[in-house]
Amino acid sequence: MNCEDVHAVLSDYFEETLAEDICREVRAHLDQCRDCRIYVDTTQKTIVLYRAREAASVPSEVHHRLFDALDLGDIVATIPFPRPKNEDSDPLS
Amino acid sequence: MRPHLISKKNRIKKSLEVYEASDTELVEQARDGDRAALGALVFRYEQAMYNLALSITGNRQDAEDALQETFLTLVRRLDTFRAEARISTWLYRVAVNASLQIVRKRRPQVSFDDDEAAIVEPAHEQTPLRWVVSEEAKALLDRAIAGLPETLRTVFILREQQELSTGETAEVLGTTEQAVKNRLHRARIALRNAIAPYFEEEPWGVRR
Repeated sequence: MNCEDVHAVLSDYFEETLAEDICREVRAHLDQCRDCRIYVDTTQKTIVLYRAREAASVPSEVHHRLFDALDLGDIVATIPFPRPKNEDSDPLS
Repeated sequence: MRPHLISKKNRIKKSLEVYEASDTELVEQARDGDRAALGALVFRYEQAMYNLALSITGNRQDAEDALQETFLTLVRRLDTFRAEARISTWLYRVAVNASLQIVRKRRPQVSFDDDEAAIVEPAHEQTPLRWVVSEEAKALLDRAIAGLPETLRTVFILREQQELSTGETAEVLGTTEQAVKNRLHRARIALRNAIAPYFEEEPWGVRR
């Protein structure tokens, strides 16, 4: 594999959906090509960086204005909703 | 009977019922006029929709407007909602469209490349991993994400922040899985390039 070949499959490499044999070829190229290695490494660090970002919670006043706008203000005041389970979110882990 | 007239015991019972209910059950109950079920549905998704809207619009007021528009649309369209459709996918689609509409109405913003990012000195003395967790890094990344073209940013937010699958992202945006993969990759490379000056080493001696 040369640099161009590696770049052509990088998307699947980051997604970890690349076939094992091609993955080995990519790693072999990275072992001997410093520039590609730095490129892949810094992209992976970027991915780590944005995955580490925390989500903003809905500010309390925004939450209450939403329920008021939906004419559900009395509901939110009287029924203690527990925070929802996150059964559907089984992301990229 | 109005909800505040229900006894405390029944209120807690109701609260647990809606907590345990599936999305499909809540949609059916809400359509039958069960306001607690509708409230639970809104509660279940308001966090995700707010974050999505905040990321696309980059602005709290716009995010709140998009949030309200999304759930007002849900209330208006509840009767026509197909039972076999997933409410989450449907809500994401409405929220993406509401957010994009708000962004498009605004005057174009100054790209992050132009001024702010340019005056920040690269922190070469820090190791990348230490820098990666710094506030400075987060701020730069936020600007870089805001500076992504709309098509890349939307895919990036749905995949990486909302953690939708490639298939569901394609469904929300009405595009193909291949297009989602391509855009996610382009978004990642664009973000890498935006923060590249902060990495100690750069390949090929230049930013790509």
